[in-house]
Amino acid sequence: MAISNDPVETFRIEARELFEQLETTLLDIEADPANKDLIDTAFRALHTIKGSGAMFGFDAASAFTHHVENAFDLVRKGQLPVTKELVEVALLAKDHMRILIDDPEAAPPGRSEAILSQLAAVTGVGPVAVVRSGGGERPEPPSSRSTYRIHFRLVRNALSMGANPLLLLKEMREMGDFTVVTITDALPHLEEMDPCGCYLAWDCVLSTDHPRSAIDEVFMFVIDDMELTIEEIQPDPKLLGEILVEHHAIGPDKVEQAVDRQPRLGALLVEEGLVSHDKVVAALAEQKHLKGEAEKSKKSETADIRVQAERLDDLMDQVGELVIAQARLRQLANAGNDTHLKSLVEEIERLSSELRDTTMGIRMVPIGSLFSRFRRLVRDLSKELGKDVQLTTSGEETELDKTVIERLHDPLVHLIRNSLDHGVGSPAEREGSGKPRQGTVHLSATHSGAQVLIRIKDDGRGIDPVKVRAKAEETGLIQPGADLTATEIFQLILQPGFSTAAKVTSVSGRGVGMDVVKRSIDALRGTIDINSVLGEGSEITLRLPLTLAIIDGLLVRVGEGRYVIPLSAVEECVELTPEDDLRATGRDFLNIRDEVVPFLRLKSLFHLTTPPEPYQKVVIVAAGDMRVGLVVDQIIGDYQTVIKSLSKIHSAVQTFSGATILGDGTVALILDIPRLIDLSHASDSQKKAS
Amino acid sequence: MSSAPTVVIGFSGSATIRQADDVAHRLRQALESSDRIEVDCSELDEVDVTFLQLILAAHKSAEADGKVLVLSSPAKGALLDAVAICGAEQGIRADFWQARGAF
Amino acid sequence: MGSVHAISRPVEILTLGLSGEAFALEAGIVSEILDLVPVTAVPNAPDHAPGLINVRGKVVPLVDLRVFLGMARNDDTIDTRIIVVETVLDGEPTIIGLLADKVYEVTEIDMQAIETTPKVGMTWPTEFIRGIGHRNGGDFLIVLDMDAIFASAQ
Repeated sequence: MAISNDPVETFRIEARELFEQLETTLLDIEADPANKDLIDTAFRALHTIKGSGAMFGFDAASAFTHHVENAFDLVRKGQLPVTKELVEVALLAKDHMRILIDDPEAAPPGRSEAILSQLAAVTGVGPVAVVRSGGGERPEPPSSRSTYRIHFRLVRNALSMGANPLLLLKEMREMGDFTVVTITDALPHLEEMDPCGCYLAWDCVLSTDHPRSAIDEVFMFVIDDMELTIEEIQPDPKLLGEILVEHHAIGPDKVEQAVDRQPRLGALLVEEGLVSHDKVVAALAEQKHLKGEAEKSKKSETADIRVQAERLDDLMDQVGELVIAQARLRQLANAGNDTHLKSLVEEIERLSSELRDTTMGIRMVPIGSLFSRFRRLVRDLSKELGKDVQLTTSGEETELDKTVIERLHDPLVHLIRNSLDHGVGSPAEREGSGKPRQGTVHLSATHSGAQVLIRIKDDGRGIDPVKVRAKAEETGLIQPGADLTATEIFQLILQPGFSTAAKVTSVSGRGVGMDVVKRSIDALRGTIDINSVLGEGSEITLRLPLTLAIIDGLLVRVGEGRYVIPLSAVEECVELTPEDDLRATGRDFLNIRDEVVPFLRLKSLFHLTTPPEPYQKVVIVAAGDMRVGLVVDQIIGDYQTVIKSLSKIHSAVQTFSGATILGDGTVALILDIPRLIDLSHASDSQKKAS
Repeated sequence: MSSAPTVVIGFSGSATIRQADDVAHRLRQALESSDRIEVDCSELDEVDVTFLQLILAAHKSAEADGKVLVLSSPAKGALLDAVAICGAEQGIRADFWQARGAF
Repeated sequence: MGSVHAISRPVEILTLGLSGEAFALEAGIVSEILDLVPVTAVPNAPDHAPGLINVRGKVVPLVDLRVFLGMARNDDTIDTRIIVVETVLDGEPTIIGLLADKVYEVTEIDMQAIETTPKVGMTWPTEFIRGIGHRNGGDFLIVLDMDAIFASAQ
């Protein structure tokens, strides 16, 4: 969502959106070829790209797109069927159009011609030349919506000469939003009329993206000796009287007199014989049409607004600073006795909390935009691998912070590729094991507390824990006799250097796989759960915190230092009984309602030398399915806080995901829960193995 | 209201400029023979502006003479398409093309 | 490192004291000088970067130059200061706080006047020293090579 002062750049950004929309529409058309609305949408997108492209000087792109637009025009008119081949070439064309606009220099030579001849093969027509009155090709003028009032009446013998006003009206109707009323004022009685004569006239209002010249063209063949007026009007709702006056149906003074006398202008004027009934009807129709237009433009004005991403970041920073300052203010106020101050501070706290929520909301984007990008990937990849796989999605409306979504793209691509490459088998193999030939990869997103869960589920071969284990022992990740649960075995896949692929495929790459995904998810302070049933499929769940910057935390004290634990990770807090404490190290487990939970003594982990304290607490935290208890000296309380990253100087320190500034101005470190859990379980496995 | 029986005339197939003279003739005959004329357009496959004009003109004449001319059933098919393109169904005409006020 | 600079224009330097010895670093990177503020210790941090401080709402690492120079730590005194500098680490602009026992002044020094540090007989690691210069009063100053120090700090 960035804007720039360079109009070409702005066009490029908008074009990118159009291309994404076009791709989605083409894929939808493939699945639903009879859907006319989809065809229209694709046509309009192509039309806009062609027109705007020319306006900003992308002549090659515009000319190229023109051919594709023509093809879809044929489809729209029912003269060309929708086939897989058409969609295929349209997708290729879309990719090429994108290059022509993003980086024309990079376009492979000859590619345009290659695609266009493939297109011609599908449509059965050569590239269509554009015929303009006056001869020669001219680039299309810019597309922008205008409203025109059109009035026409043919000559008396026009019909005998072959003119067909119904066709003229039909052509205009297809150009946009069209309202027409037939004027029968000149129609005589049956006895007096020439049955082949033309006595009707038409008052029309057309709102269209097409240029004025397109309207002129409609009347090209009947233009001689006819009444024709085309005038551009503003789509502002007008009063009936105004419209009638503009139609020259009546003089303005007569309108005024009528208005003075009674409210229902139209009826009155007709009654008085001042204006024909049809004229009033036409004026009313125009009024209605204009109202519709005005509403449309109003809607699109309020829909979206582009914001420079940097400004959003600045806004977030400032809101963060405000949160910190407000926390300090609260601390100061609570220390004193001024009740007025205290209540005012509470008010400010409420306001800053709302501001924080609103600002967070601005950065929230539905994940559907990300999911739809993968449809193309799955389609192309299935073809390449010779498999039949469909991508289904749910929870597209689930919203995430914009930066999180961007950083999810690559990990998700990798996970989907994995499913397609290793997970789902070939149609023959699937049939052999009693599965439907077509495999399914399902992407879903849901909110769960303060987290977002993103799942990639496939109905493929599943992961074989035996193979994973063997590989891990081979690469020395675990000891041969180590006792691991299935979950722990699956987690081994995420370790660096691990890869169960027997050969390197071009698709997934080598070992560059899951550990990179894990690091990306770690950087987002999220976790990965892997679940699988051999023969049935696999499910990978990504858990991500809802926001990156401001978190609700639990402030604790260990020794003389204070630390923050992300509240979303906290499950419960229990006391560390003297018995638990006195147990020999080597078996640091707690029994919580019959479940064994390992615990970490933070004081020893941090190598702090302060004396032991009597009433230690254990904060049970969880990341995904794994839990650990953190032993602290004191639990201080809830704390809403802004996360600041640590500099490179401290990059080697593993256990902290960032730092924050407390109400009293001192710095507190934020614990990295997934990392701590890894640590505790790693040392655990080693203990178990030995 | 007259006591003459209702005349029903039907048009089928094509009603374009090629048939215009014939359509006009039949409509005039119907108007002369009765005060209530019902026009059945349900069998029309092809319609152009001449037919619309003739029907509307016939309706105008009927009204001027205090007679009633209506469609026997709401316009459909080719006739409806033509009427829709023209926007001829706006306002009072809507009733006519929808055969409202039929018996 | 320890070589004579060819540029003869005067350069601004900040003079500071570490464990009783006088040092200097280029003043261009200094953004401000603070009195001692509460330092949050970072568990398991490298020796040269023991803690974090709050500088105007930013969380800034505190670097102890004495560690680079192999000197013993002192207790903080009323003269202890934090020199806030801005530099680029790994392509990213970074703010760092440097702990100093005393800060003297900002003064000018002629880079050409820095003599090559002798290889032998130096108490401090030569890789972090740019050269030796002279203060007005005749005391010699050890000019620190901050680039080398920062590179080593990551």
